Amino acid sequence: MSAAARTGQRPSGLVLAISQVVILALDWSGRVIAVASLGFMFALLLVNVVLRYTLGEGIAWAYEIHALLLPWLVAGGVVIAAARGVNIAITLLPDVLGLGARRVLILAVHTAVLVTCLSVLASSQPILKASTFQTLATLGIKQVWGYSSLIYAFAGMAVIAALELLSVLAGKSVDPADISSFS
Amino acid sequence: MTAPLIWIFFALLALSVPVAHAMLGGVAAALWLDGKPLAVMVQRLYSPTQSFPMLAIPFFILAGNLMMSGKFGVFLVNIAQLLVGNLKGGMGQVSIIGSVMFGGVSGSAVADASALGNALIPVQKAQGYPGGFAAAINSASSTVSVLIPPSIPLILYGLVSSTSIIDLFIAGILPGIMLGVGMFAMVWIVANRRDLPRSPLAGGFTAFRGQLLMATPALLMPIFVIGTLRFGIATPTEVSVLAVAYALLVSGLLYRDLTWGGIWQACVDAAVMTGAVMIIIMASSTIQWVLTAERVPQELAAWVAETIRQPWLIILALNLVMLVVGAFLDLPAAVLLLGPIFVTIAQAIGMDPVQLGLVMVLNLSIGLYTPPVGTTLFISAAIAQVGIGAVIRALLPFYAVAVVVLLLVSFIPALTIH
Amino acid sequence: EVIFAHGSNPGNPRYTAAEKWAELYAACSGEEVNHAPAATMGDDAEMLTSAAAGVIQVTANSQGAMSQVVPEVGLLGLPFLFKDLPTAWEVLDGEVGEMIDTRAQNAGLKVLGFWDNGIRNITHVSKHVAAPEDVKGMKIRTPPDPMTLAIFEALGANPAPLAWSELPTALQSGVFEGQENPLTNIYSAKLHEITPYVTMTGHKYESTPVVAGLSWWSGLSEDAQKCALDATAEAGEMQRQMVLESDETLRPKMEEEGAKFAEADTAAFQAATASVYDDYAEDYPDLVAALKAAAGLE
Ligand code: NA
Ligand code: NA
Repeated sequence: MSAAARTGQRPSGLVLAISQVVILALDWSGRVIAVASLGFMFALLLVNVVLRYTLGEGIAWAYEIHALLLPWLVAGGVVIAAARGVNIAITLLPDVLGLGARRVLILAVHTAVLVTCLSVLASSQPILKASTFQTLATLGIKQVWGYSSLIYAFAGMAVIAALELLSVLAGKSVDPADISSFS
Repeated sequence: MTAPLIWIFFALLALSVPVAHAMLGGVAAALWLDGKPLAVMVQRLYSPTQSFPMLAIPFFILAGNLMMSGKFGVFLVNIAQLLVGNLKGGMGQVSIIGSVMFGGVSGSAVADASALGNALIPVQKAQGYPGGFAAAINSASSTVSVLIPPSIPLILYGLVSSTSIIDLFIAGILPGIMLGVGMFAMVWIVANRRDLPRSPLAGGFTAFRGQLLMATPALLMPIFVIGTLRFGIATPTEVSVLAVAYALLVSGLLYRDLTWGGIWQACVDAAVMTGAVMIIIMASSTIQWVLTAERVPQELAAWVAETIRQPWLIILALNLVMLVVGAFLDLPAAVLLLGPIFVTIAQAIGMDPVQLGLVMVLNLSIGLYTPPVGTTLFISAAIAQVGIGAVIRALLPFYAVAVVVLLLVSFIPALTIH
Repeated sequence: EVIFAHGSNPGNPRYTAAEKWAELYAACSGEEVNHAPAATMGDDAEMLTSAAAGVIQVTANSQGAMSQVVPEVGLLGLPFLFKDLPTAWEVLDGEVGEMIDTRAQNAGLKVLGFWDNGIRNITHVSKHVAAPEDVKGMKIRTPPDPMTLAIFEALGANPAPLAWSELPTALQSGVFEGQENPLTNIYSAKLHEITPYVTMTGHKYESTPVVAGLSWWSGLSEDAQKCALDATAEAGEMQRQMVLESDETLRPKMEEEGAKFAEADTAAFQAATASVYDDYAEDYPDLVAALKAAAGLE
């Protein structure tokens, strides 16, 4: 934030500002997608359990909806985590490096993330095509609607990695990364 | 394919590439070098999201978030203080008792370490506890959360090993309590030697009778979870949904501190945590594919059974491997990487998969407070504002307690198989 | 290297036949075969995706998962269609099988042949279901297969699909009162220990389609294609015999282990599920008629 303010007048300031806006938009898209998926599955499964115990019958597709919505909940969460830079990593090396070396390392890390995301995206075509032929039994929805959550997640992570890469090149500060874990 | 995969994975990991991307990078390179289609990655990434039991993870996280965000968190600390505050080093004991109680609503040690650490470490330091000791208590005791049900690592282990999650949850109770009791005794000894202050709750029982009563429904959550599972009222996923409903009811009707903003925040936090955990699960499923395609688990299991022969030596060897891996890798990632391989080995020596699951989660949870990478260790040290070295010196007796419990669980099946 | 994947564990006829296929195809074509059992390459639906995408080459799959790609395959499971297994095999090895293969190729899959999965029966936690009325309102787990769902909806039951791996827990938890499967599957998963009341309804036949990825198949030489087809047929013959025999030998074995068997009123069940034929005849008039004729129902 402060780096962007300091460099507000230079062209690189524009890069930082745009990247912040795009990343915030991705963060919000993740929040909306994830909370909607989580809330819908919660309501449906709760109603299903209640129906089973009161009327003795359930909703058949309550056992299938996760096949579509859990991938989207995860994709939403993954994009938020990437936007906030809280993906689980081992951050020993950047902690012991000087500022210059750390800058190079962080550029390398963002590049590696970008490359892995792009290789997943580039190789996704055959699977996506095959999934257009697959239908969920009770919902009657094509599996490709679930698989496309992976495209959203990996494209989102790729965009964030690319923007972070540009931001560091444009002079964003490289404070020691936050340690995050979720065991 | 296995050799390049392992080298590239560890190289990227050391460069501090996020764990999931390091896995994917290793797999992509290995597939590419072997001329195999990379499309398999997309397919395997998707596979874990198709599992109905996996859905229990976001819901248990959400239930814990909802429960701890409101008044219950304050009540919990007060009750622990009422119970053990009067002992020497009372605030240290509160941390342990709090972790055991917190364990019943949360499936994650990291959530425990940050929630209880932020509440207790500053108080302990103000009372004259050495910062390293305060951080040590918090980082070690918070791992009790992953043994007392619900537990995210135990759900993961159940999924990768096809073991009943219900059996695993029930098996976790006794080791979790043993660990709590061991640490309780350790703090008692240290507190007496260092003459740490007592901190009885001002006003005592009469002043907090109301809170005790109010906190009871939240404290009953583990009994609710275990009860519904044990008596076959619902599947683990449905129980996790019921736990969310229960948390909403308790904080909405009883504590009246539920807001739409609070629910939204709890959901977003649960989604971020789910995303961060699941992407590692998904990425390790691609590694599993490569290992399976090359029959690594079977060959490794055969090799171990052939070379070591003595079951007790094999169990010891498994423990050593887990301690080393756990020192470097985060708990969920380590469970997913080692689970399938170790289950095959355990089968070969007739070890029960439930017992192995508890040994594995207990062992890897020690890694949460060992260097070089220990999440609860880092969180606690940051809260206490002390160096890692000071915390590790204070942690030495806790390692001893944990290793004793680990050996007992490893070699006495009766502790986990009821 | 050719990956042949399926979801069965050692001891299941499918596993034995897959081992045989690997041996036969390797000897005939000279190519190495990687036999990947126990769903290590994913569940049935995932293996079909993988085969179509060229990640694996061949899978011994299930009729339910396959019918989500090629709906026509599901018609083989019309209620009480085949009077016995040999009738089913005759139909599958004839024109009907060829027609299904043509449809599968549109979805990027090549059918190499049909192995067997047996005839399905109902198990219940607490009672026999000899008449259609006994099934009314029953919470029953089915595979994610539209035909099975349609049959139990016609019977007024309360069916819901759930993955095979989660079935034991779900039955123990009372989420379902029962399930339906061939005896081989019931026995190998020890489901008769949780649901000991086995009613021999024989309501539905199921095949095990052996399916290859079309892109892999098209790239094979003619000789290699013949190797694959021959291996499928030869291993399939052995597998079909094993299924036929195991249905006979399993019943006494399961009775010894506490399962209680009963026969069903087949005529009443047939009448109660007749509407399923009408529903499917709307979408597939020719195929339903052809199947009925081939099976000797008309
Ligand atoms: Na817990
Ligand atoms: Na560690």
